[in-house]
Amino acid sequence: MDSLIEELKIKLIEQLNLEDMEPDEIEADQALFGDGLGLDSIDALELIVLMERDYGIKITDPNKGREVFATLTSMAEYIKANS
Amino acid sequence: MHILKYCFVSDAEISDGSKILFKSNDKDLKSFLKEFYKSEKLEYPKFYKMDAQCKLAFIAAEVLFRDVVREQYKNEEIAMIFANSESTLATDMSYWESTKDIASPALFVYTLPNILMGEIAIKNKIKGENYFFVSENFDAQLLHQQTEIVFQNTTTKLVVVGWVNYESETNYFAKLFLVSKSEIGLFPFTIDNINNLNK
Amino acid sequence: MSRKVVVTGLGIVSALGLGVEQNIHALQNGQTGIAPIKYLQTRLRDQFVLGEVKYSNTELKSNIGIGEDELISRTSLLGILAVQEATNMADLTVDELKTCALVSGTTVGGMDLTEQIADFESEENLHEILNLHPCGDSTEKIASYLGVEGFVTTYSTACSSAANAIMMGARLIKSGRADRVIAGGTDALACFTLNGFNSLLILDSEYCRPFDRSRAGLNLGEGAGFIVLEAEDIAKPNKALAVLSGYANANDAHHQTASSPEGIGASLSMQKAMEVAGLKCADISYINAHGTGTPNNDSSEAKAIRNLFGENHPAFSSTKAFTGHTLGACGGIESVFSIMAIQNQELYAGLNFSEADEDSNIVPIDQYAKSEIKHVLSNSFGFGGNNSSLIFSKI
Repeated sequence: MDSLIEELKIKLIEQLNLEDMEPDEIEADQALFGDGLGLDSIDALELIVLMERDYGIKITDPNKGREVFATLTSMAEYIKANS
Repeated sequence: MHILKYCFVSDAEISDGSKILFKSNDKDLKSFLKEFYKSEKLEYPKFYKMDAQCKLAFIAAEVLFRDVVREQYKNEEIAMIFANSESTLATDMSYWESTKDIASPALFVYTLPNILMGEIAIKNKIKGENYFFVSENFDAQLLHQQTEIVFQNTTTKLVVVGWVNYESETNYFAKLFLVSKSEIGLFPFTIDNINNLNK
Repeated sequence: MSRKVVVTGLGIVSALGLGVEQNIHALQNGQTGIAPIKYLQTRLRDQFVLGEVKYSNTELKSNIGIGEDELISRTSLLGILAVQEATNMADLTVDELKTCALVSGTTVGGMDLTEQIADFESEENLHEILNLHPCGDSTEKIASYLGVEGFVTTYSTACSSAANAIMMGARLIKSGRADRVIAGGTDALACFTLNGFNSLLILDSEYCRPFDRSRAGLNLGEGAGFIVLEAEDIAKPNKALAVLSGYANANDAHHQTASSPEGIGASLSMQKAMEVAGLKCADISYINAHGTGTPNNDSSEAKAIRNLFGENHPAFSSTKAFTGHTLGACGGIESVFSIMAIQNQELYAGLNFSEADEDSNIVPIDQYAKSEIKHVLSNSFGFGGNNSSLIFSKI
């Protein structure tokens, strides 16, 4: 689980062009959207692409996406459960 | 109509007309603009998500609005008129590449040329009229005519006029003018003056 | 000083058919043009429905009288057909056409040709095809085909492109820079846009339901809509169909693609268009809404209408459930519908509506009806926060 979260941190920075961020600066339970990391709706769509391309998991409902992408922990749990 | 300020970006150089404001040894646009962003401590992480053409326009607009007393103008009093010849060809191609695998929403968003005005509007809280033209060459007459027309709308006091073209990481330029309705400024906003500055 | 701008010709091509007559007939009879995909070669064929113009490029070329082998984009073909109809209706002579201005809006340009290139390195006609790629090419093609030699320019402001072109046409005339302007927009369907809107998760796989609570996205469409604008003082007697009385554009300054929840840009553009026309809220008889069918657009636009017009808002509907969202062309197509609503004194229904949103709680008209129509407001909102409103008035 921890290694998956570390992997996601790196992918997140790369996929979402978070050029000013280092992996250590993102916490596993920090909110990714809103006041947390400040990601927006286009980022959420890019995360959907990431899930499909890298983990073979298809998310088609934006509301489901919101739930899955709450934190890195929730993302990792969803990947574990669905792959 | 008078030009209050102008900003040109090309060949790893940012100038405000009279002097070079920033120069980098890195001719590569992405690195050069990042260097400027860092040196200016802009702290606007959305900048990194923009495509190259958008970054180019965004940075030029940052320089343009520097030292402008923004509070003098209401959000609706500022308009934007932009044009280029490329539309968004470079990003069209990268996005099209991505569709062969999974289409990238973040790239698709930037396949519309007017998105760069949207980004400038969000950052600078601009709610006035905004138009984007695609024309073969730099057309001072069109930009001048459109600015004149937009100033006939009595709410408009300031127009950001721009020509922004990104062809490749080493071939790009942005030419932005901040034009005021008033008779005070650096130069009168005339077709000749625009062409002279463009040389 | 300001000259009155009248509309003297209309031209349209959409999923509803070629020409004003076929289009209005479908609107009156509640027959949508959206259907399973037939012409666009896409791997998403079985997933979505589209508002395709029901003619192949070969058929369109033969209709216009262009050789089958000529390299020309579908965007140009649709545009030529619509402009041809509009200028015929306005009875423009060859000399009048020559001095006319042409202002067109488009977002895809020659994308339909570019995306058919299988391999950039081996394509024989690569250079010729890429020359047709820029948005400006379709406008140049229309101008040269129709013999227009006046001021020609191209707008690309996403889905408000055609509305902005029409607004500019009016201003060119009002300020005395032109006497006659052909204005509107054209956009053909392309895999490029279908994939893109799919990646934004704003396409409905079923028929779109503008303003309905269950709406889940838009259906893409294609087409062209152009109108001939003339200064009233030079227009031929009895040719005026409507007056273009108001127009405005404003930026929502909220997000690259999403509209602000309160519809700030939408309210601003509607309000300013009424100011330009010298009209009050109560004067508007009908609003042809942007109404794409996405949860975000319709909620934002409904709130803007509700906030601006209050509980006694004018009748409104979105005709996108008939044509699909025709992107850069929609402002032109919907201007034609708005003017025909005035001409025929009738209202076109929004299809597929059953229940309003809880928060705005406003209901579009869902039945075709005869009605007294004086002023019609037409909205077109684009990505990048680009919001435009036009007002057409009865002569």
